[in-house]
Amino acid sequence: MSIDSVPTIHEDLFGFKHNEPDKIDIHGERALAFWFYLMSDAMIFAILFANFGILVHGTAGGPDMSEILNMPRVALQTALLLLSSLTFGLVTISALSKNRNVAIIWLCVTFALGAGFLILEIGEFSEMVAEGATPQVSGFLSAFYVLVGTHGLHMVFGLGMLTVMLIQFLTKGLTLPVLSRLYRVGLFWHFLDLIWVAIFSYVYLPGALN
Amino acid sequence: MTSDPEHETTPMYLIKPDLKTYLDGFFYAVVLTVIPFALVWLSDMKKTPGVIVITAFAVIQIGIHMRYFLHYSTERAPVSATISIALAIIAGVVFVGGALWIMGDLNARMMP
Amino acid sequence: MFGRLTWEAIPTYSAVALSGAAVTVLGAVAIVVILTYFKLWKWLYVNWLTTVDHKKIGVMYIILAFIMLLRGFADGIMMRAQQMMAIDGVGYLTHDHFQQVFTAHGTIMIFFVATPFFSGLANFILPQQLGSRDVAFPFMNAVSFWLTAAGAVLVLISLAIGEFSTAGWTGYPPYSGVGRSPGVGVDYWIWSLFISGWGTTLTGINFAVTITRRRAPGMTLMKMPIFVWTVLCSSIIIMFAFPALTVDLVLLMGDRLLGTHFFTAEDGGNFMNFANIFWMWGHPEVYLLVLPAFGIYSEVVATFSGKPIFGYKTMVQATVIITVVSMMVWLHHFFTMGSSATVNAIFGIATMIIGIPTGMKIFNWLFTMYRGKVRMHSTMYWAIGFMVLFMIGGATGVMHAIVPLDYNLHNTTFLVAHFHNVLIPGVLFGYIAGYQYWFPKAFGFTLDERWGKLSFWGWAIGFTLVFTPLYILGLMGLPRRTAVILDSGMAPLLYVSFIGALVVFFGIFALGMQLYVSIKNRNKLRDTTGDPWDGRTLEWSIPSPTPEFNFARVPVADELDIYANRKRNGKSLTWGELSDIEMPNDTICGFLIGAFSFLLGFGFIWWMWWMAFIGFVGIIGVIIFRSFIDHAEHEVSVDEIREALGAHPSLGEQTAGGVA
Repeated sequence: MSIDSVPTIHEDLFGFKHNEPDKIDIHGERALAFWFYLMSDAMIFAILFANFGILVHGTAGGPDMSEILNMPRVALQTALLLLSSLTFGLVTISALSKNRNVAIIWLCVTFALGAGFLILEIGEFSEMVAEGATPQVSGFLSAFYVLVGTHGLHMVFGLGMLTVMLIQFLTKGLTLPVLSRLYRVGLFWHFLDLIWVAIFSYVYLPGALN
Repeated sequence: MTSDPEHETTPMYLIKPDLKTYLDGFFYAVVLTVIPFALVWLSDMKKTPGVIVITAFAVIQIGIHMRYFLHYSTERAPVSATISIALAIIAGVVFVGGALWIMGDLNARMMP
Repeated sequence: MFGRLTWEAIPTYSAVALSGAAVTVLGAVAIVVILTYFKLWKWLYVNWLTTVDHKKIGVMYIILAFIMLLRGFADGIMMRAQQMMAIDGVGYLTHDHFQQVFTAHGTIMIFFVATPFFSGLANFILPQQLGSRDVAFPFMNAVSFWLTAAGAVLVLISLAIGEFSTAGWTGYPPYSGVGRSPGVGVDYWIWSLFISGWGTTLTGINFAVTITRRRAPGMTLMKMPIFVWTVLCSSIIIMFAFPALTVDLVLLMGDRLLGTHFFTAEDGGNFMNFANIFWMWGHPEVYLLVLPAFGIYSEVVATFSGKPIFGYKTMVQATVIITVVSMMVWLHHFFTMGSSATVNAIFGIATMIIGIPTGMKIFNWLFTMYRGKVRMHSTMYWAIGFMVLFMIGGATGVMHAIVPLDYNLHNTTFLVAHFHNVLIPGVLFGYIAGYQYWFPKAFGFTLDERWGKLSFWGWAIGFTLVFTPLYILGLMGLPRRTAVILDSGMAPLLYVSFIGALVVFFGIFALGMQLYVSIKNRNKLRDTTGDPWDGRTLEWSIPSPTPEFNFARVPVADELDIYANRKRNGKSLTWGELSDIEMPNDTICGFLIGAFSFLLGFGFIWWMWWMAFIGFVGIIGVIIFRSFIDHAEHEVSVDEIREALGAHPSLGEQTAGGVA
């Protein structure tokens, strides 16, 4: 039997160089899968945005966007989330510099900023409910709650991920699997900020225009 | 096979980002946020031009987030990730645009 | 404590429904008794519940698909019987029950037959065709399966506890809203689709990463087998289209549970938006089902013609074009909703465009057979039968794309006949061909040829007999989903249609017989070479049944149809030394996530909030627990590899002669 020499290996359109399976880069595959997941998640938001655009005029005599809009709060929420993106960047930098304690501090700061965002959002929703602007009032309010609420739910999951990361920093240290997980949590966190940009631009700010 | 040694040794998830990229990104994001907020808050813009301006700023800012926070760049991310992003943009435009078009057209034909 | 679950949930409203419930319950009891009697619980746990092996998961998917096919077919033949008996009469089903039957039939056939069958075949064969040892994420793969299974169990349980939706498989509001469907039926429908939809989404991501990252050395994109290409395109469709279904179901759930106004007729809601979002998913969905079937036909036709596939490049291009265009045609499912002529025309034209790449594929298969040494294996029967029958389905599809014609044909049995004509010869024939083609890879023996061909004739003749009358009846104006037929002139055609259903039943029976006869004669049918059909792709270069690790050494794949070419040149596919192989560990976590999501769904359906809470916390808990496990692999040693391969040539050291 003639056994061939190592085959010629070409780089293909996907930029992937074929290696032997024992050199499989599982963390790279996870990172790629996470990108794919984010794109799928982005489609969920895209359809919720479309749904909001379709129902935005269906106020059924209830309040419209300009009446439920509280600009200072939206500005504050935006500031908190944007700052948390910066602090998450500092988590990544210090973790990759093997600086665990600093990373933990920034992780806690990020958590606090994210939690602050959520508290403001819960405050917004409870205020609206107290004023009678519940999701049951009109198609518009239903669409508003589900779009902003889905982002909020993602934030809750994001905070859960931050907690898991904190525990793993403490128990496992900065191992390769933990760092690769940190990369994916970071993608998720920055992705939520990116969605928020779309939300304040598409949902909140147009409500303040005449 | 042309190999790029750096790409091969440091995978995407272990490349340490520069503090400066985050600060730059943060700076751009702040500017791109403050301008639309200031526009709707302080000026007296009409609906249609206002929405167009806000959308433009949002699109730029989303690009900034991708570049500086998610560290997306064509050299760094695998090409398949780039393809998936391109497909997501196409699918998003088709679905959102198509849905708004279909339902808007339908609305216009409904009895008041 | 039990929410709205009371003794009234037992379907005592009709004897037929009660016997359906009895069959379901007795089936479950029988399985438990058999497992206990033969002391198989441990075997079940070790080999199946905890497995992360893509081959076993694939087999479980296909078993699930066949079980659900029986259930879906039972619904189908009940509908034929009802329409035949209800001419100028009432038939044997109440209207409400008839509605449940056609809803369950559609839901089951799409979500729990076709989709798991696709996932199963792709799971089983994809890594083997890529020259890989598993999919990229074996654990996530198990999670996908158990989520799908949880959805299927919800559908089955609805037969015994409560009722199923009466709103059709598309579940349009306002009828499916809480005002007109206050019962648990629509909730069963929502939750079974929601849970299995997540499973499918994870599968799509998993396959996409596997195909981009786990190809054998040298296998560039244009050297992948066609089946791999079609699975890649299906995965892309899953990633981008399934979110629409998820969102649509959640919004409908909100309307029913919380009283929101997404799809209500009043208070600013817009129920036509449901159809709009539903078909953003629904249309790509049928393409994600049919593309892999096209891939299977390509493999089968090339293998049994002894030739490479004709026009490989155009085949790939056609697949990609169909993928992209399939996301841009969804409005053709509701031409009659009232859009303006411009909108309808644009979507109508886009729909017709899809016919072009599909036609290209048909020609490619024909030219592959042309001047080839065609062996009439049973799988070739399915492939050729598909080409003939699918052409009719495609042509009637283009008829529907003509908007004025659609205004006349929509909601008639003509439409029903059209999509069955696409889904049965297009999708199901392909999947059955794939099942018969790759069966030896799973169990080490081939399937009986005679019963396989008989099954084909049962399906092909039965299909024609069922649906040709429905085409004619549709043109005569018979609406779909009618429980009572008022025109006795339609009687003869409905009788023919029912007889056709019986012939299809013979086809299903023959599939069962084929399996039984093959197991009985398994020693005679044993596949010792691993390459029973003189195959062309990598999966045939390894022994049957495929060992746990698939490939002892990584194969080369730097040309198309590499295995066929290497067999001709007498060269080996493998290179390098044998070494230990790292394989993923089994885990019960996947099954647990499936079980917890069942609790979540069941709790929500019956308003047992404590149960839903347990389910939700359980899912999150298992995921967090899993995230703390860094090493979930074990080594397979060289000695074990040698033992598993025996004298198979893929070991590459036993003989000095050429490769078989």
